[in-house]
Amino acid sequence: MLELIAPIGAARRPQINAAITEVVKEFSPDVVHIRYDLKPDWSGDPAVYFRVLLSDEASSKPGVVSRKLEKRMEELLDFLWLELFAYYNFRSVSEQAVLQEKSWA
Amino acid sequence: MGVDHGFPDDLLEQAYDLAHKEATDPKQASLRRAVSTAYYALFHLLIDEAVGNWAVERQRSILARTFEHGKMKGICDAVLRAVKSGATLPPELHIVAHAFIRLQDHRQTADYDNSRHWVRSDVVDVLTLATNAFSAWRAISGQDAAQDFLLQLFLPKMPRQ
Repeated sequence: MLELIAPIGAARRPQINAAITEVVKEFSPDVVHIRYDLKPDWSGDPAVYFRVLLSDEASSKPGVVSRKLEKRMEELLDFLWLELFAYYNFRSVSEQAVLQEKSWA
Repeated sequence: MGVDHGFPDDLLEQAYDLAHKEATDPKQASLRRAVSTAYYALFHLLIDEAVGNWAVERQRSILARTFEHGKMKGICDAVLRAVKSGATLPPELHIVAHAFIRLQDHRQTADYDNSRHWVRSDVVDVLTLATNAFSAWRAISGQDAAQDFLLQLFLPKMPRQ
């Protein structure tokens, strides 16, 4: 299963990276940056997991910036065509400052 | 006081309570249970609606146990694909299907991935997915598309129409 995921992931990265660049620019300063991983989800389907770092102000309004960002990502990336399920997690700058997790840096 | 929709709404309320249980430094136990509870809130909302259509009340609990998480994901994915292909479906159904898939994965992570550190803002955002799905579902639950969706959730294969 993992061997099948890797080739799919490699082919998709340029498109994903381009979409992220665009979205971060559009949503700045609410969105600070986006990181991601390509890996199977819980049921084994290929998936992309986005980690979105939000400003503290954006994070204080749950569901506002996040839903708009997700919608914009769907406009830029046809996840069904990419054959990827897309999952998002969000964190504020302050929360990351405390945790300092490398995967969110 | 609003209408008591019962167990699913209580679960969603409990999810919010858990997410805010600690005023500061929320515990991972609270946050992870909040995420899991939010998923089960939506899961039970859909199951309750589906089995509620079954006329023989004493059989409903048996029916409820036939729902499979993986199959439900597949049906939700089919809704998203149908919308993408141009099928005329209420946008609210897309919201419900999309939220279900996302919440399901979050629940798996919350329940089984001990390496993952949850933060409150992320959990509350997850909860808004569930809340939005509840609202969307209630806006369309009586419509044919919604009822067909419920039927698909526990049929092995939809018969040709």
